[in-house]
Amino acid sequence: MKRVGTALAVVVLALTSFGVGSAAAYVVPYAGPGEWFAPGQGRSTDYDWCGWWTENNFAKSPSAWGLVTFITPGGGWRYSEQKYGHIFRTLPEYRWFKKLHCKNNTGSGYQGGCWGDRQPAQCA
Amino acid sequence: MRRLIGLSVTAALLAVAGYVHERSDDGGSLRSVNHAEYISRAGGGIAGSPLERLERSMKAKPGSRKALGGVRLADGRRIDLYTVETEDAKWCFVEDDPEAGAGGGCLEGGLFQERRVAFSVNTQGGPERFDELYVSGLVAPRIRSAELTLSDGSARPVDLSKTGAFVYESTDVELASPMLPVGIRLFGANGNLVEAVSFPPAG
Repeated sequence: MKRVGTALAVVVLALTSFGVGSAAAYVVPYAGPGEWFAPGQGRSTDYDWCGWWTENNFAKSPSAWGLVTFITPGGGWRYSEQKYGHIFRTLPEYRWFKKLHCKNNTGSGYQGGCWGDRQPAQCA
Repeated sequence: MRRLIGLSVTAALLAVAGYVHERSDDGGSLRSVNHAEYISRAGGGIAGSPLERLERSMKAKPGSRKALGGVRLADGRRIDLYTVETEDAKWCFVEDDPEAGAGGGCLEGGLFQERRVAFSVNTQGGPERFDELYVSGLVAPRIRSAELTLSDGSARPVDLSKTGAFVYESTDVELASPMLPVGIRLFGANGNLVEAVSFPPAG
């Protein structure tokens, strides 16, 4: 009986640890890497669902201009940033509904990749 | 009973293995990430300020952050500017806004390899009409003055700090017109034009 108790305790501990690991922030690619961005073309994630987007990033070459933004359900853009090279953007407060968007807003195509950080949240 | 214990231990080992696998991937290398996978970032959670999180994502070299000074926007917010070097040999120009978070642009080969200014266009609102727009940047050491060109062809001088950093904030009139920044002109010691960098209007 003591062995059974020990084994069950180990199982509970392991499953608890697994739960902690799953609650960490996640990196979620949503375009590329190396995906072709035609002039004016963008990519988006889904809106926040069972987690909050906290960061939006766009990897591309130093000669490639582009933008990252956070789009509200109403279609408004917030915290947009446009740069050459790799773009990184973090939010101070992330508990509001949004999706991530990256875009080539130039007249020339290039390759790139976009990814976000997501903080898991309890599903409604 | 032995079978029960064996099954329990196996389940525990599998769970621990899965947990360790998640925690061992720092998620920083885009090329190593499977498109369909969610990968846990080492350290977990969302600890730290937006600037600290930004530096983690950039893989900033510890202690490489150099302050360039700060500028206040019209609403009183202070924007602090920095450069950061990364572990994969990139140089980044970073702006930190206590209310809007942190943003950075990283370039291979140094900030001035391709052009004599590293800069970003930051906006709120849009994409049709912006509520706020500012351009922050850092010019190369031999640049003495700079001006922004707007979409109507006019120019606006920018104030360079001793470190070569600047922030230009569009006025309400410019945003409403709209007369948006579309270029930066860089001048040398004797006032000669050294370089003109153009970029598309925000949006």
